[in-house]
Amino acid sequence: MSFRSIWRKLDNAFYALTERRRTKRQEKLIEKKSGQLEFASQWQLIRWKFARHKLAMFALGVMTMLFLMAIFAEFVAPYNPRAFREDFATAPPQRPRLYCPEEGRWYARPFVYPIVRDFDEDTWAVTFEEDRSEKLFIRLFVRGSTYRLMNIAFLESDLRLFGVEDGVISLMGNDTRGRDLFSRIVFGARISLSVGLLGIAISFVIGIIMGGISGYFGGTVDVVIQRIIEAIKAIPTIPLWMALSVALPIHWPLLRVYFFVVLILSIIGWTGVARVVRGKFLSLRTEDFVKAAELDGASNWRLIWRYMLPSFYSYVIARLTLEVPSMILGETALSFLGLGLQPPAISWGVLLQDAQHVRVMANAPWLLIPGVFVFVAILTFNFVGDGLRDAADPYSNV
Amino acid sequence: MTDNGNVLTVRNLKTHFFSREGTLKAIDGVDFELKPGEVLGIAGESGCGKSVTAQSILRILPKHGRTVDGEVLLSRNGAAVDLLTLDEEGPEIRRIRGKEIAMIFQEPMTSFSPVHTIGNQIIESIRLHNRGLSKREARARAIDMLHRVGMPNPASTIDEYPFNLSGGMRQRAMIAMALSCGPRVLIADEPTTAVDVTIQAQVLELLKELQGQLGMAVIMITHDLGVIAELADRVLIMYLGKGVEFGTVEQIFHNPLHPYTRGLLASIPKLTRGREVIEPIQGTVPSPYDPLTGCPFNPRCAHRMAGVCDLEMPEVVEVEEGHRVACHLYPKDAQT
Amino acid sequence: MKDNEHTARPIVEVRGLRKYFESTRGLLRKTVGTVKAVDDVSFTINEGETLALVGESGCGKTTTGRCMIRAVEPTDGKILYSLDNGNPVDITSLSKEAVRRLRRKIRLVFQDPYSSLNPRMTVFQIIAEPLIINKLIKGTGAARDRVAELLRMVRLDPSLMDRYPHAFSGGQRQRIAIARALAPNPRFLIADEPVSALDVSVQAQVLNLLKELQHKLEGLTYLFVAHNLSVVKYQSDRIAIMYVGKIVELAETEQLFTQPLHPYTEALIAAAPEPDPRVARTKKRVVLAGDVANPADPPSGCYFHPRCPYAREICRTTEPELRNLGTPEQPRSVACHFAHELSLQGIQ
Repeated sequence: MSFRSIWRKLDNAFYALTERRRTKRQEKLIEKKSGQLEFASQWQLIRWKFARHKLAMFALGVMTMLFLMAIFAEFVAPYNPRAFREDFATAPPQRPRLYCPEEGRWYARPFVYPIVRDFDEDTWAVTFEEDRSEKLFIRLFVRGSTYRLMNIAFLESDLRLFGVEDGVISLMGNDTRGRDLFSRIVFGARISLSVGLLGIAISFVIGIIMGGISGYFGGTVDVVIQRIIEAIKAIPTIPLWMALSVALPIHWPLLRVYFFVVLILSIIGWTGVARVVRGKFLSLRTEDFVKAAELDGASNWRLIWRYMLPSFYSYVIARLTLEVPSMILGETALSFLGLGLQPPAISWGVLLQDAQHVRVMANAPWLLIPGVFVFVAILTFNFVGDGLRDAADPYSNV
Repeated sequence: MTDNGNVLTVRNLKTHFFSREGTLKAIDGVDFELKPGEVLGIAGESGCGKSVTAQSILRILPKHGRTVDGEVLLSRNGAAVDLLTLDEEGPEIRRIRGKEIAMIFQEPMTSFSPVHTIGNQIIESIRLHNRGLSKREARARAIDMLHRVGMPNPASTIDEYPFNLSGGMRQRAMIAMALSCGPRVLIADEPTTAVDVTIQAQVLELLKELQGQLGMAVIMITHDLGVIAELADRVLIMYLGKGVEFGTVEQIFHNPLHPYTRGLLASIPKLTRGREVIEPIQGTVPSPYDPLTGCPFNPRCAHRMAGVCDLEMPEVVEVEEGHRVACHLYPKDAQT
Repeated sequence: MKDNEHTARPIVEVRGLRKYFESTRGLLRKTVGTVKAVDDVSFTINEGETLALVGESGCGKTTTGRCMIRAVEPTDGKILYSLDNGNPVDITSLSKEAVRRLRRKIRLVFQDPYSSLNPRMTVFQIIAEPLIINKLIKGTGAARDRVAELLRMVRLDPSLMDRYPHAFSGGQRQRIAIARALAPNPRFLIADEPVSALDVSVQAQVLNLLKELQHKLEGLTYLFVAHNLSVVKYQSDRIAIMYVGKIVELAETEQLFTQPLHPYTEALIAAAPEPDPRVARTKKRVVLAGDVANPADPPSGCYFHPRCPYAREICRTTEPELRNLGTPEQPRSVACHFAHELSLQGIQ
């Protein structure tokens, strides 16, 4: 018996086993079908279809958590991201534990051991050790230093999501100046994630206008816009960024630099959106239902707003979600190279600047953790984008 | 296993598609037999499973489809081979595809690669099934085949790319390729649906002629009863994955038994008929996902018997010699 | 065999209609070729009748229909439409605003009901759209009443009007499309292959519905564009056969089928597969050689001559004119040099 035929038998057996689950699912679908499907609008159908995409749903959950973390950064981070303890520069992460080997017992509440500074007698190097004699229990909603949530005056508080009493907790270690890396990552998410969203928003506006003009009017305008897009796409990005950031005055305030970086990223980003929009316009113009509306007497304005835009903004949103990662990566790359945001600002790219030196990385590999966050954020956007793209046309197989 | 003189026998074929939405019973009980040299027409509307039947026979189902029950017996040298027991990608079934059972499709472009000349593709398929043949011999055979399908200047058209040919010519080239290995069974899946009426007439005439010359059996899959009437010796009518009626072309067209067959015939305008009102079948073909018990046609049937048709699936009954129908109007016990 | 009395009052008169498509290349749009999609087509449609335009793909039947509502701009020719008060206007020279008004009276039904209904609008919104755009109705209540009436007219349950098109089958969708076409009380309906995208068993429902509507709505006129001769025979009073942009024969339905005058008509009748094995196996076979001529590069003389079994020398050189071979009361035109001497076979 060949491997293939064994595999087929197993496969068949699996199908037979799962038959009941499938029938149940089918019954549920029929229930829905006879109940609401006839009345379901485009967005409901998209929601149902998206919900069937398990990976995308999971990614959406992760994405929501990342954004909540960025929005409530002051509350989530246990410490002020700029507060430093010089003595504890590049102190390693503390591991949360439930089991205490000294006492040989389990605890219901996770705890960490405090870190103590020490000298290596031979090399005179600073070392950090866990002090196993003491336990710092991790508690939710502890009081810490006061902050103003999102810098709004009346949202002043000292409540933090978690922390320890009488000690310091540093889940992801400290950076080279002894600042809590986890707090810095939480704050960095603000800039890194919002760069993606804001950049996409700008790209979206430019892209939809340029693509719309190109696709709806066609002819020479179309040809010209297409050539412009091709020219922009042909520019090598890193040298362009370098050139643009050289033009960036040193004394500019942080906020202005931030917007400038977003703008640089969008200048490249809109071309993709414009192409999608143009293609959709072109194909929709020949769609029978658009022609029918035209014959019904609908004006150009009505055709665009009532017929053409609703037929493709779901695609555009899916497409945009897939473009966010390139924005985040762009910001990270710019800042990492020292061309975008600079140290007083906190973004994942800026944090990664610390990880540029081999020596630092060998001694403090946790400085690469911001890279993990970049990685996770980008995967999440890609998965959600994939799910949205599949759900964007809910009429393909209802 | 014996073959009873049939070149192909299909028994109780069931092919289902498994997807997230549930199980779609694309074919749920199809029986027919194909005698050597005869034309069997399979007719039905979209979604009745007629194309899936062909795919099940050749074992070329799409990813989610699998044949869950039944037999497809191909007679070979007096013995019968059940194609369903063969390895889907094994050498056995590959020898059968093309060599013994060939297939032509609705859109000829799908069976040709656009980057090779039609000649190379035909030659390749000839050499694949006839190892000993030299390239020159295969080419000669390809030219002869193109000549037979009525291709003008076959010696030069053999080096054309598919997109250089007109629709009708492409159709001919595809037929030439399908017939190049001398199959005993040709499955034609809606071969004339995408072409114009006058080209359709050409293709039908050609198929008829080649069938006479080469003596192969043909399974003609179509939704057009006119095509069936013109070509077929026997007919299988399908509805929602089930074979509802099977008989000779005379029996089906002049003595239809199943209400669906009758309804279908009454709903088509004919050229030879006056302008009396045609009778449509009520309702529409339900979605294959909809729950349906009993006879698949019962919600639309004019002769529906409540409590019978909507509960039990009718059995296939042979009402007269070679004329089988699955309908409660023809109960089994009424037989002698 | 006419069931309604036609007061031979013409509603549309097409004279010498031409539509040439030019293929251009490059930024400067240089013309590199001309496709004569519609080439000197003339016919008249009387109020309350059904005229069918029949031909194979690319013969210009659809373009002709589209020209009549200026969905495609004609290159040349006149299309005279007689207004409600009987005065004729030339559709080809109307202003944009006048075309908009005209499009309430002349409506188009598309071939594919899956693509002609906006999947993002409910049935009510779809059918009410022409009424709302043209401000023919005031208030949602009145619109809902009118839509309900239209749905009943096409034999659909009015309570389904808040559903989306995906809840309907092909046949039902086509009824919705017909209801939308009927919404502004049109006088003239151009049905472009209205059943060829539908399942066989459902086609008859739509055909019968169209007939019934013509009966009910007095004076409703159809231009029925189709390729299926059996359907056309069932549906229309007169038939125009088109080949490569030209009308080759125009006659009353019965006449055309029993006694075709153009060899192409004969071939089409012979090629139509008949769902009756006895007829199918005994009827005379005329299988045309070759393909439909390319409208971008048509043959000389009579476009049909390379495929015509009766072609002679003159057919290669001279283009035949469409001439009337019938009586003034019962005109029938044909464009063939030998129409008077060939005895062609139709159906009995």
